[in-house]
Amino acid sequence: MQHYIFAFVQDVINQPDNLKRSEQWLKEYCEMEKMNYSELSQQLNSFFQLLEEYRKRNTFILYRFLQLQAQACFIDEERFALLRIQPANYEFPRISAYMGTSCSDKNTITSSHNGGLVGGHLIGL
Amino acid sequence: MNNAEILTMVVSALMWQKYNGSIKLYTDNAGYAFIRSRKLSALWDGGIDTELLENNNYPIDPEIFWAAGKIIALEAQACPCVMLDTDLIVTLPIQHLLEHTAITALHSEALNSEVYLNPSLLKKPSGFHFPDDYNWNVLPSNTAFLYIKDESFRNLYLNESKRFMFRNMEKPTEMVSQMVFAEQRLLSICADRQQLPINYLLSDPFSLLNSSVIHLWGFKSLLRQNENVQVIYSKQLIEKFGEELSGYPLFMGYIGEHVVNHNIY
Repeated sequence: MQHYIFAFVQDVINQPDNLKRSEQWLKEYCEMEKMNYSELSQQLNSFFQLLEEYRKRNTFILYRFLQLQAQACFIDEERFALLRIQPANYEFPRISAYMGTSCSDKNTITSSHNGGLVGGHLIGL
Repeated sequence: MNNAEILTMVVSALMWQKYNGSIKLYTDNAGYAFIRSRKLSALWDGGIDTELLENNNYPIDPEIFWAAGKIIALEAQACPCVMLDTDLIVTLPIQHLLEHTAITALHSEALNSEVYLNPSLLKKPSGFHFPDDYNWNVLPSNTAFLYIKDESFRNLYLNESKRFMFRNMEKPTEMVSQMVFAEQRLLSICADRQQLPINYLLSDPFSLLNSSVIHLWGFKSLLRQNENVQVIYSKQLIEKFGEELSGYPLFMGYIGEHVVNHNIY
């Protein structure tokens, strides 16, 4: 099953035009294996949405989130590496900045690159 | 606040109670209504105070000085005390780190000129002048965590901050520089003026040696833009603290709703 899901993801990444056909195959396979297709499909959708976001904003923390979401889709780190998604270089934020609890996003300068999460490693990020 | 930010606030308040003592929330009526709507009124064992901020009539522009509520709350609180942002989790007991310090903040910040403006570029109230003995070279302090031991220093800092904020109504082009000066840079300047060293919980905010603090900080902007990121972050938070906080019914109840509503697992 892991191999099949990996092949599905690889196929969608490399040949996005085949998405509908690939989804149909996956659905049939899940039915055959008595797996919950809608749950898996939801996790895969989240993965592809994150991948799209990562392509727009090539940050270290989004790459890490992508790896974690891949695990939710039964793709381990070894297989994830085979997807050849270029990892972002870890960079410290260039801009030290402040985002208080009541400050809106409007007109603020945020610490970018790795998203400015302090202590992310403590929760595996 | 999105669900990931609320979960952070829940974990923050409970972890503080578990390891470091009582905690109280200062907010306004709108904040309290939001807390009640999420059934989180019992989260702070020291209670929730809305009167202080609702009855305050300081001449401060809340759009420019959006964190002034923290300054007002600090003024009402007896020292020694800790001021903790709702997006910051302290994961361990830290009393021993505070014992021999007069001031402890989260970490120092670089003097980035886009954020910490040259004093000549700051908007000032009419007739206001910066004292000649301000040291503009000291590094600002991130006050998402702030411990102050004595009232004398607390009062000096707050008086300087209020002197700058009061009747300072000219809108800047962005809404960061005025606030971070009044709260973060002034703290360091006042400490330097009193020759009091500032201790920091973290020598570097992104150090992998950090074992005690999680702070959403600039990550909030990414969380607000992407629901998938919120879900993964929340899942990691629950995995890390779920067992540790399983004795708190409020936590378990909130997680139950969070998981059901957002299909985390």
